[in-house]
Amino acid sequence: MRPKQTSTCLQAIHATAWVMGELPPAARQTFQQHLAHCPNCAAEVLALQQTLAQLRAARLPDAEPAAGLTDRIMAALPPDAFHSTPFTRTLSFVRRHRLPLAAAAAAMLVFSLILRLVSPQPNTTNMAATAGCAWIARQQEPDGAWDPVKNGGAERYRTALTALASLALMREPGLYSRQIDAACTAMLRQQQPDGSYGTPDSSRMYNQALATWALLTNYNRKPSPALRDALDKALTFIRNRQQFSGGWGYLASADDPANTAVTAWQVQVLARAQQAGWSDDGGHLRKGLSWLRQRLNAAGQFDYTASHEAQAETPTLNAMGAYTLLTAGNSSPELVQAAKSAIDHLRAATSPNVPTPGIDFYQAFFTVAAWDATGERTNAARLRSGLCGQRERQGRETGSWAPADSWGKVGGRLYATSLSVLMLKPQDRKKL
Amino acid sequence: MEPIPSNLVPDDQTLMLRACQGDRAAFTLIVERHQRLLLNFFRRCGVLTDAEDLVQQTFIRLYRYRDRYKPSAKLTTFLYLLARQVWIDEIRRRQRAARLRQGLEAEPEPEQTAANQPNHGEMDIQSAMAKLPEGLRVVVVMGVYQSMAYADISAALKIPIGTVKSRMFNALRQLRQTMEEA
Repeated sequence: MRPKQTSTCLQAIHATAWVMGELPPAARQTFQQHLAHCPNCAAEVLALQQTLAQLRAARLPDAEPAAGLTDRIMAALPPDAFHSTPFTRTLSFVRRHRLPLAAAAAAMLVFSLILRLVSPQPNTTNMAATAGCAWIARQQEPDGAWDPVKNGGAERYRTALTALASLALMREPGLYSRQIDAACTAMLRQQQPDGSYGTPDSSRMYNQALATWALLTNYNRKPSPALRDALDKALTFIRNRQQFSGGWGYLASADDPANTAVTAWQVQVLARAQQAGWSDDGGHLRKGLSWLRQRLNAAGQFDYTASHEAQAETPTLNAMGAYTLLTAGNSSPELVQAAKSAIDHLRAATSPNVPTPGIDFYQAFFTVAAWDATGERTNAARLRSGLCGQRERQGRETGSWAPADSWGKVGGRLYATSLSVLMLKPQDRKKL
Repeated sequence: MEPIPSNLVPDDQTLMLRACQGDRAAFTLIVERHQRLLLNFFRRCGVLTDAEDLVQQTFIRLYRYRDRYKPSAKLTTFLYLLARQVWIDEIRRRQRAARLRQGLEAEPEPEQTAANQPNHGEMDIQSAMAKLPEGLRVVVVMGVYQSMAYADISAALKIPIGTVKSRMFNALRQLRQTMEEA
């Protein structure tokens, strides 16, 4: 049944919001002036006020809950509430679905095994990531950037850390739009006319790669001409810094040879750019991948440089090299095959029998990414589980992770927390 | 896990995070803190005798769906969202029961709520409220009885703020018309 119209004035639509005190100040003033000249709306307002007065008069007074309601509610929670184990979770499943005895026993066995494999629960990792994002958002400066020094890092990594923090927040879609927009604006401001980021030292190419990755992800989320221009310049800077060999070094000088770490970052960014529609006409991505492929030594591990001298291979180099070959090379069978040997070494290095005293966030980041790329869920879950157990659970830094590795000295808590969120909230591989 | 110090009053977000980590005491604090709000919401929706049961169901859902809560949002908004779903389920349960009684030609349900009490001559505002569709009634309960801002109603009901405005507009007009026609 449609209510009969008591006012034919078009402004009458504002009458309800006006009597409820919900009109914005400017609209309130305009409507107030309108009321002085419109008898229809004045009558409408009067009638609404009377109806509201009747409603308010009939409002039931506040009642107090019965004594013991809290206890009753807590007792009514599922039997396994707050005592959750794989066994009790399975029991709860069986009860909920009223499975017959034999099916129940089989289900309990199967589910206990599965739950052991995927432990910790997605709930735990989600909540840890959510708490991490909340901590990151709290640290943002009014200009949209993050201050490395306040969080135990080094000033020269300001751009890289702002990029990492905003990438982490982008893993909570829709929650931190304002903060992400502000971070993007800050990164656009930090870009130099030649498209570069940061100071001309060993930090530059990390700042460059991370800022470009964050801008690309932002462009995918909210494209704009300004962002496209900034990306064009940032990508051109990366391409121009590629050495003849196909790799990248820290500096643009002949005595600074290309290395696996810096190259892997630039290759990943170029691959993401290609995915977002930037062409690789100059073959920079192809040459970068080829350079990386050549860093695999006879033992199937990644060397740091092209030097023929003996080098110390590390699980970090194996993880980042293998992950990059697996994901940036358009699934080329040759590159996937090449990555396999490094994955084998990585598997041996991260076996549960190998003690790990503290989390190396940088290594863990690429290792989780490698396990996600190869589909090794158990290995990935084990690393994420260890990560969840390391976060701060009380005090001012609740939700964050304390850095405990060599990069922590320049990245501080922002680095450790942002990488942790990125690990706990894996990205859809089809996205940037 | 260390107990929450009694001299600190943690905010809802902290309590929910701790509850999600398995902290029973944190969840108990949430129940204590918000049971009164929910109880009065249900009573003003027209549920009198069963209101505490609905409060209980709401907290059970909060436990069940705890991982869907985003710490950036107000916990009360999330609670209202759950409470409204509990209320809708309750309305459906009552409708099913009423149809069953009709089928069995049984006596009317003995328990009357404020929303369905019989009139004594003149139509009162509560009876007029009971005639409103649920989508309009909940906006009046939240906006007028629970004093919630339109923005909070919009978040709790997951509808645009413009829809809250138009629902309130239509609800008050229908209430007035029902009262005038009585």
